[in-house]
Amino acid sequence: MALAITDTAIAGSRHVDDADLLALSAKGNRAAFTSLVERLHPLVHRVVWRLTRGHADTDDIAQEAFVKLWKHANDLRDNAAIKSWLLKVASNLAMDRHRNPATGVVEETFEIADTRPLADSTAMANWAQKRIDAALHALPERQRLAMALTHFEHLPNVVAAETMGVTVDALESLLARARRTLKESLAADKAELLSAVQMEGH
Amino acid sequence: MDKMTDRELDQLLGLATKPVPATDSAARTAARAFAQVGKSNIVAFAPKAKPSAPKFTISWLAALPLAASLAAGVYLGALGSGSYVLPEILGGGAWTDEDAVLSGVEDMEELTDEDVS
Repeated sequence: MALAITDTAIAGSRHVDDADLLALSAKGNRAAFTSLVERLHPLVHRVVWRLTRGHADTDDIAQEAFVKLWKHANDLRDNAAIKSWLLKVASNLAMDRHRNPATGVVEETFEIADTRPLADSTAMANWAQKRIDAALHALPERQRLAMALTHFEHLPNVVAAETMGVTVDALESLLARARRTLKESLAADKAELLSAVQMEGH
Repeated sequence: MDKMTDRELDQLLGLATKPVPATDSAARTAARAFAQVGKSNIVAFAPKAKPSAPKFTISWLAALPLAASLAAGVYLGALGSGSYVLPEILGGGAWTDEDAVLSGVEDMEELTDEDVS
């Protein structure tokens, strides 16, 4: 029973699941909440980073999501869905903050990578990384979120769809469009990019 | 231009930046949550404040002349030498009509019309 777990056990244990930690957090157990943050923060940070294109307020948005979790821990009906709830809150915060209020379009403030490949292998790898990041950043926000959740975080489509508030079919449609757009945008530099991949040992 | 395959795209996406949060991010996040939101079901125990003793409204300094005055009054009253400072009605003793007989027997007879002696 979760309530019988001591604070010390929580702090050191990896066997307590997220739902139990959340139940304890709802009762004001700070050790349980800290453990929960340590587990889920990297995931939330990465997803927010991809949505904000690495903007400086990535940390702030991730923190705000966890503040909401701590505040509403009592209100979550399905403790097992905590990851999905948290990612939904964080992604909504990120999209709201980075959407231009005048146009409703997410601001395109990222740096477009130089399209000229360089001879040096390190420089080549850096160029390839920037080129691919730029292609990802250029995706519409919903497609970018779908890619972040499924391709980069390996969440099951059902969980990703629940996080985004869409059906699995709609999610798969977003993913298909995202991949098609990426292929098209990277096609011009395909040879150089693939050679960079080989240099990196992929 | 060759069409890119799914496998090739996945290889390219493997080069994308892998963001890593700062090492103390999680600790700072938890600290911010605790600082911003006080849990309603967490009630910090604070011992009930004891009622403070009633304060003397007159300090010892002010009480000294009052006590001295009282002592002097008692002393002079005991000697009888201070009666000249008092009003006559207070200094002259209790007023009595020495001719009056205050037995009350006559009054009783008047009231009852009977001999009560």
